[in-house]
Parts: sequence; structure tokens; C-alpha cells
Amino acid sequence: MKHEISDRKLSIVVEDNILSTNVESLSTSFKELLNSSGDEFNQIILDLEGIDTIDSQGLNLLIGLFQECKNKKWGFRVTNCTENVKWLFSIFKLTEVFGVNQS
Amino acid sequence: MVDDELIDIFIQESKEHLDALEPEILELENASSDSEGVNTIFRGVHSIKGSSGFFGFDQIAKLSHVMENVMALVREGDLAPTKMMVDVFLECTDKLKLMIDDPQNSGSIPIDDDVVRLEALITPGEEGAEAPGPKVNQSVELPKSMKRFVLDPLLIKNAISHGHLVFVVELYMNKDIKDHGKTPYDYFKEIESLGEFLDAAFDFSSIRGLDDVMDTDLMVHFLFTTVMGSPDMITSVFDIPADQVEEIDVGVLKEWLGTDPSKVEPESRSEEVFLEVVEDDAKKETEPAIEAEAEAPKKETPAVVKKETKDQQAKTPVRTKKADETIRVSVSLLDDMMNLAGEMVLSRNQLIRIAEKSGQEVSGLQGVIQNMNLVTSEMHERVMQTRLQPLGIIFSKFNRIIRDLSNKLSKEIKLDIEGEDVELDKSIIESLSDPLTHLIRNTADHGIEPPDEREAAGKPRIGSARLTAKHVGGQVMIQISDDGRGIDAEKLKRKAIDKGLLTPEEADAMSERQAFSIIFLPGFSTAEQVSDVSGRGVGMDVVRTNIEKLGGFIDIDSELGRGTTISLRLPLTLAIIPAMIVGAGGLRYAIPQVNLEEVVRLGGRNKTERIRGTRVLRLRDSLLTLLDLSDVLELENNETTNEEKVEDEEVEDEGYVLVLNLDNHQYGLVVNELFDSEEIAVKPISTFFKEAGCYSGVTIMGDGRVAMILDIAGIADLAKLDFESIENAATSYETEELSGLETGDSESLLLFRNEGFELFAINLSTVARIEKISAQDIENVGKGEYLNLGGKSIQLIRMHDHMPVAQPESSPEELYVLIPKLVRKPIGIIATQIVDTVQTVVELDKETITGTGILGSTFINESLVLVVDIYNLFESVDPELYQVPHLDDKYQSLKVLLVENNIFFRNVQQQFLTQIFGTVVTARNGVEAWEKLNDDNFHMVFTEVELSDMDGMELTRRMRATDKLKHIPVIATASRNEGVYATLSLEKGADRFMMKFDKQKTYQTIQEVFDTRTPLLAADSIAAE
Repeated sequence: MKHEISDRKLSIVVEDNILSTNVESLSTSFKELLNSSGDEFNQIILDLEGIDTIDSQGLNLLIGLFQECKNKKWGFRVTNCTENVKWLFSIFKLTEVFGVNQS
Repeated sequence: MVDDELIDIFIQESKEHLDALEPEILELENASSDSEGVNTIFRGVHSIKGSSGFFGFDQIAKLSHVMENVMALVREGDLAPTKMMVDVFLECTDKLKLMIDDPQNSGSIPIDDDVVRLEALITPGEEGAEAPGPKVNQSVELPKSMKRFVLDPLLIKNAISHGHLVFVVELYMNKDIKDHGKTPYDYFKEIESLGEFLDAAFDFSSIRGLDDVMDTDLMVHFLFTTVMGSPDMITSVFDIPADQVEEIDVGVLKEWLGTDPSKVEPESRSEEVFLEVVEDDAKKETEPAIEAEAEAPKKETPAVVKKETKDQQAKTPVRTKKADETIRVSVSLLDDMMNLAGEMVLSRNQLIRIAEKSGQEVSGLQGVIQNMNLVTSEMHERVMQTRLQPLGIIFSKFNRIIRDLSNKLSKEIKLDIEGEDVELDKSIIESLSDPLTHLIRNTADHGIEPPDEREAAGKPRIGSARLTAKHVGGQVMIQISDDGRGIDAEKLKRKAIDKGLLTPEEADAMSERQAFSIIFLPGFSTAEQVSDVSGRGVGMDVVRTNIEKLGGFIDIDSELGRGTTISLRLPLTLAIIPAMIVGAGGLRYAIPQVNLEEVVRLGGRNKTERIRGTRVLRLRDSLLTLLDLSDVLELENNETTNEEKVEDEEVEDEGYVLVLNLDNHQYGLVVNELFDSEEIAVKPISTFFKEAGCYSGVTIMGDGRVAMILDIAGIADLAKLDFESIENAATSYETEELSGLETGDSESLLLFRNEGFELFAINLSTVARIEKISAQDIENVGKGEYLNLGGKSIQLIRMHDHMPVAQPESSPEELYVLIPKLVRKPIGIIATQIVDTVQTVVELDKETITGTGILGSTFINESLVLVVDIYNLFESVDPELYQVPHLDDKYQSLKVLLVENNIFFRNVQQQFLTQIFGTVVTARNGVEAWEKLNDDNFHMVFTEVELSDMDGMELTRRMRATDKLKHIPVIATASRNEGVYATLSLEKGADRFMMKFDKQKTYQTIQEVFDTRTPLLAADSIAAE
């Protein structure tokens, strides 16, 4: 996982499939990032480039992150989705929620 | 710009396709993948795709292409027709209609939605998402569980109108998915193949932040529709407990939608758009086309709901006003008019007859009848004309098609068109358009090779295609030929086997010609890759179906590497042709004038003769085979019985001979009576008569009487007329008559083949007999082959072992052995086929083809024939036995005269004698010999006994009676060992009589004669010099 802050945006690049096996560590990392920030950003962009599989708990993680942002009134957006992931979001009607199609 | 006329044709054709495929679409759901209906839809959209692509109407081409793709899958059995498919297809058909109405502006009509929906039929899941929803009845209370969803009425309507059930499914992400070892993606993908997720309600409020991620099991509700009939199946598919599934009452949904879904179906079609336009336009113009049959069912389409499609309406162009120049009338109406006109002619004729008898009493009746007569004739003619069109109408578009295809396929193709003025009934012309288009496309696409390939094959870069139409044997023959790569029969067979259209056994049993017909099987395509030009296996299938529907035949002939010719033979059904009305056996018949060369009246100088049992007429130096129509049709002749006819030859020479042309052959048909030549309208005959094989149709003549139209090819077949043998017989007869007997120079030749292709001739008088044997009868001894014949072993030879001719690849089981005579020891010559015996004058060419055993070559009946010299042949086979005697050169200063009428013998003898004597002069008959004897000096005369004008014995007698010649030795020869010849010739003064061809004996005889007469010879020899 990599991250970068620019223009008050926190970009997180998740490099591995988001599965129950790594959800916990990812969740911890996300929390650290969120907690460490002062006023550095007000928007989180989650880059899912190359990710084919997100399992049930993986979805939970994305929703958890989304809710965190929502609570903090930050922007949240998912980018660079593969077709599989896009399709999965469309089934759950999450496409709009995650702002998948915004560029 | 594209020719307006062509576009009009495109519009008409496309509309007809759409009309034809609409009812099939409606039946689609019940249709099996291999049904004719599926094929019809497929072909229809295929044709529209092709034509529109050609005109550059891309929107039309695009939409029909996607439709075709869907149908291709259905046809292959890879996609099952659904109600959804029917809906979408009907909508798309309407969209096509809209675009085809004004193709020039078709680009402005949006089709993206339609394309998406069509593609969704192939890959379901995305369809209809963006379609605007119809209004719903808000007062209807939906089940509580539905309220969590955002409902798309259009999707729901589509689903229930297709008989789908609707379920609300409750799912837990961990319990139902993760704990079953699945990822959400896999889980939903699997289920999606069984139905459709209309909406999801994902309540993730229980996850308030990242802290809740690990131990929350989120619940999600889905609105799912499927054809699966029960909640049990749903629980099993989703792998969830039954209480998580709720079936929604479809009735409530229907109420909510506010319409009866059975009426929803047509509503969802975009016909309303189409009709709106028509409504608007209807105020300004009359409806341009009266399509009585095709339009009828459409009128019944109920409850058209208007849709707010302002955009579309604004963009929809106003239709062209050209239409009222013509009115489209259904062909059946024209048929009716035609029949009624025929009936009217009949009634008129009856009226005329009655008026002739008793009409004088009513004043003014004659004038009225005369007027009516004219009007009726005129009307009859006009009605017939309404149905006729020249083939040029459809031929003209092919030039352009070829041009465009040439560009598209990067080929160079030249199309020659002939016979545009051949007229055919409109319905036939129309039905021909598609098949011909497909054939032309196939020719360009598959037939003609790319320029480089052609060049490599030694052909001109520009491929040539020919499209011709002509009347042949009372039918219209349309041929499409090319000089392309031809059809590989074996490849066809393999492919048909691969596709499961044939079993290997069936394929093996097929002849090459039969194999060509494989390409007519539905679903068979020879193109390696499907292009948008052709190659879906639709073309030839359509062609055959359409041609056979017209009562025609299609035939393919092809030579690999050389080209293909496809012939369509169409009956004259409904066509109008000039015909000669003739009478035989008291009945009338019509003979298409196109076959009629001339008419000869029998009697006087025109007398018929019989040659080998065939009745012939000598017509300007050629012989015409005659057939008597009464005999062929087995008509009872009222005047004479057959027996009387045979006895009384004079009776035969009455009547007329119709000289008929049939595929470059001629024959004469004898009829009793000759009436008039008339333009007749050909009507189809019932199947009973078709079986007879000699009628091509039937017509009602001007006076209302019925006449059968004779199929002159059928009559020739019926009479088992074999033109080849007749013409051979006639040729040889003529030769005998005209030249052979006059010059006395004709030969009896036996023509045979010996394993290879070469045709050999052997002089019949040198053949003792012909034995038919089986290949197993041949015994091999050493290197030689022998045959046991009547207890004697006879050596056999095969020509190719001794002569410079091609080696055969195989030898048949059944063989013939020619046993020669006039030889020391017969050697049998093996022949595989005895072709014929001919009596003909041979012009021997000794230069072109030479070699052992070959005397020379000649042409007999236009075939090259090698004339065999058996003596020379046998010498090479058995040099010991047939050893050439040692010849002294002591006679080299002498000159001899050889009198021989047979070219074969003359040549053989001359060759031999030239080895003995310095000069050998030949004469073909006694008269010529006599002249030469008087003009020149000879030391010896060899003369054949049997000569035509002055025989050898007479020649000898005259010589002996002439002082100057009486001392010249004469050796009389014959090819037949008739004792009387020996006696007679010696009586007349010949020195010796001997059989020809025995070289040893000949030399011996020469020596003996000179020995006994040396003093004279010496004296004369000096005197001569």
C-alpha cells in the first residue's frame, strides 16, 4: 500500500486484492493515515488499479472507509477500477456511492 | 451520388424483407434453431445489411448487422429465442423501417439504444438500464419489501411481460457468501446467468467506520427476476434459507404498471414513432404504397401508446412524395386479373360465335361485339404487360455491386452482362434479385482470387465475371460464371463432415458434381473468415430456396483453378413467349419460337429417308434426324394406324418438319398441321403433366383453347435421341455418300482406347476378331502377358509398352483383345474400350505424330486418332518372328507402281517397298494407275485386286493387251484370302497373287518374279533408260 498527499487529497494505492486475510492490516493502516492527518487533506482517493478480487470483508473495509470520510465530511472516491470490480459495485449499486465513474 | 432508381429498389426490397420477417419474429419464441423462420429472419437482415452497406447507409447496416449476429447465434443453437428477443427485434424492425423509408437521412435516427439492447441479448445484464420508464399507477400499493428499491417500471414491465417472476432476496455478505467460500463476484456472476438483478438495497449503516469492518455481517436486498418458477429454486440457487426469499405478486406489479402486460409488448416497440410520422404526413399525402397483403396484419396491432420522443420526432425526416407515381399492387391481384382477362377472352369468343349464327337479328350488335373484341384483346395484353419486366432492372445494380466489392476486397473484377432485355414475369424478377445478389457477391468474394494470386496462377490480374440471360429450350437460363479459383469438391466434403452436415460415408459416395451441391446446405459457408460481404453460409441456401420456389433449378459446374459457372434455369411460368402453334394427332401444341430454326413442308423434293432405322431429312447437304410428334407422344393418329404407315411410305411424307435447335444440336419434329405463331402466356402445368417430361407449360390461346407447350429438350429425351451417335452416323453416312464411295478411298476403321486417353484406329480388315476378357484371364509368363484362347496361347501387348503414348494410371477389370489377321503369328492388342467403327476417308498426317507402331494421325469426328501400323508394332514386339528380311539393294535403281485404294495399306506397303525399290509411285485406283502407267515407265506393278472403278484384274488385262505395258510384272494383292481372286488375277495375266503384309513373302515373291523374268526386266530396264 502506498499513499501520497497532494492538493489536500490523500491518494491511497492498494496494491493487493482486498480479502479477509489482509483486511485487518489494511484497516489498521487506513486508521493510522486518517489519525495522523491534521488538516492536510479533506478528500480520500482510493486507487484500486490492478485489483481483481474484493471479498465480503473487503467490501466491508471499503464501506468502513467511506463511512469514516462521511463522518468527517471528507470526500471519498474510488478510481482505476478493473471491469470485475466495476461490475461488482454495479450489482450492489455502489457505483454512484463510490464515485467510480468520476474522473 | 447513388442512383435514385437503385435506392428505390433497395427501399422496396428491404421493405419486403421486413414485411416477410415480421411474422417470423412473432413466432420466434416457439421456433427451433433450425426452423425456416429463423432462417428467414436471418436472411432478411443479412440482405438488408448487405444492400445498405453497399449504399453506405451505415446506421441501417449497423443495426441489421447486430440483428444478424443475434440470429446467427440463434441459428447455431447457441442462443435461445426469448420474449425479450422478440420485443427487441420487433422494435429494431420498426427502427429499420423508419430508416429505410428515407435511407438518405437514416443517419439522423438514433440506434444506439437498440444496438445496446440487441447486444444485451447476447450478453445479458446491461439491457434497458437507460430506457426511460413509462408512467406507473401510483395509487397501487406495492409490497413493503419492494419499497426499499428504486423501481424501473420499464425493466419490470419487460420482465413480467416475458413471464418472469419477481423475487426479493435477502443476503448476508458473510453468512451467505463468504462462509460458503465464495467471493461476491463469483457468487453473483453465477446467479446472474439465471436471471437479472433489477436493483439492490444495501443498508450499510451498521458499519459506522473502520472499527466495524471486521465483525459486521452486512445485509443486502436484491430485486431479482427470473424465469425460474418457484421460490424453492431461488433458495437453492442463492444457497440461502427459504425465509430470505419473498416472491412478489406479479398481478400487483401489473396493476402498478397500469397496463395489461399482454398489450405492453407491442407498445414497447418504437412503432409509435413510425405511426406518428405517418399520421402527420397522412394529412399531406396519400399513403404511398398499397401493400394489401403485407400491411393487413399490422392494422390489427392494438393500443399504440404515444411516447414522448420529441427529439426523434424532430429529427425524423418527412417522407418523399415520389411514391404516387406508382402503385404497388399485390401479385395475387395481378394473378386474378390475368385469369379474369383470360376468362373474358373465352367469353368474348363464345359471344362472337353466337353472334355469327344469330346476331344478325339484333341491329348494332355486330359493332358492339367488334368493339368489345378489340378492347378485350387490348386489355388482355395490358394485363400481361403489367407483369413483365426486363431482367436489366436487376442486372443493372450488379455492376455497382461488383465495383464496390472490388474496392472492398482489393480485387480487380470485370463484369460482363448479357441478356438484359430478356423479359420475365415481375414476380420472378423480384424473387431473383436476392439470389443473384448473393451469387454475384459470392463470385466476387470467394470465386475470383486477389490479383496477386491470379498472377501467380498465370491468369490476368483482372478477374472476369459474366452474367448472362437467354432463352434456352423454353426456359430462361441465367448464368453467372467466373474465371476464378473454382470449387474444391474435396474441401467441401471435409467441411461438411466437420460441420456434421454429412457422414464420411455419404461424402465418399458423392460425385464431384454432387459435392458442389453441399454449398446449398443451410449453415454451410466456405469462407475461412466471416466477412460482412458474405461467408455466413446464407447466400447459397437462399439462392436454392428461392429458385426452387420459382420452380427452377440451380446447377454448379466448376473446375478447380479454372472457374465456376452457376446456372439458374427458370421455367417460363408466367412469362410470355412467342410460340408456333402446331397440330399433331388432332391436338394443338405450342413450340417456343426461340427453339425454332425453320419449317420445312414435307413432300415433293423434301422426302424423308431412313438410315439405320432413323428417319432423316436431307436438308441442304446435311442430314436432319426426324421425330414424329405423334409417335413421341404416342398420340393416336386419326387418319392412319401405325402399321399402315410403315407399309405406305408416302403417308410419312406429309406434314411439316420443324427444325429445332437444342444446345447446338438440331433435330426435326414432324407435325401434321401448322397454325399460327402467337404470343402466349405460359401457365404452370400440374404435376401430373410435369412427370411426362415433354411439356414445359400450358397456355390458353387467343381463341380460348388450351395448348400444351412442348419442352423440346424433353421430347428429345423422351425419344432417346442421342445426338452424338446420330451425328456420327450421319457423318459417316454422308462421308460414304458424298466422298467415300466416289473416290473409293474410304477406310473401315475400328476406334479403340487402350488404357490411356489416346484414341487409336486400326484397319478393320486387319482384325480377325475381338475378344472380351477379364483382367484375371491374363497370365504372366516371364515379362510377357499371355492369354489362353481356344487352347492356344497368344501373346498380348499393351500399346503404351511399345508406343510413345502416355502410361495409364490404372487398368480396368474388363478388357478387350483385338486379334489381328494377315500376320504370321497373331499378337493380341489389349484395348480397354471399343469406341466405334467408322467408314471414313482418312487424311493421314504422317509428320505430326510419329513413332513405333504409329502410321500417322488423323481427325475422325473432330477427335485426334492415332492410326496403328500393326506390322511395325509387331516387329518391335517380336523382332525375331517379324524380322525384316535382309534386303538387297540390287533393285534400288528400279521404279514400281503401287495401286492401293486403302490409305492404311498404301502407306504400310509404300514404306516397305521403298526399302527395296528406288522409287515407289502410288495410285489410289485403277484409272489413276492406268494414266500413270501410260505416262511413265515402271519395272513392276503391285495392285490391289479390289478397286472401286477399275479393279486390279481389269488393270492387268488392259496392261497385257497393250504392247508398251504387257511385259511389266504384275503382283496382285488382296487383304482377303479369296481363292477366286488368285485364279482370276492369274488368268488375267498377273505374275503372282499374294496376301498383303507379309514382308518376307513379299520380298521373296519379288525376287522370284524378277528371277524368272530377269531378261525381260534387263531389256526393259535398258529400254526405259
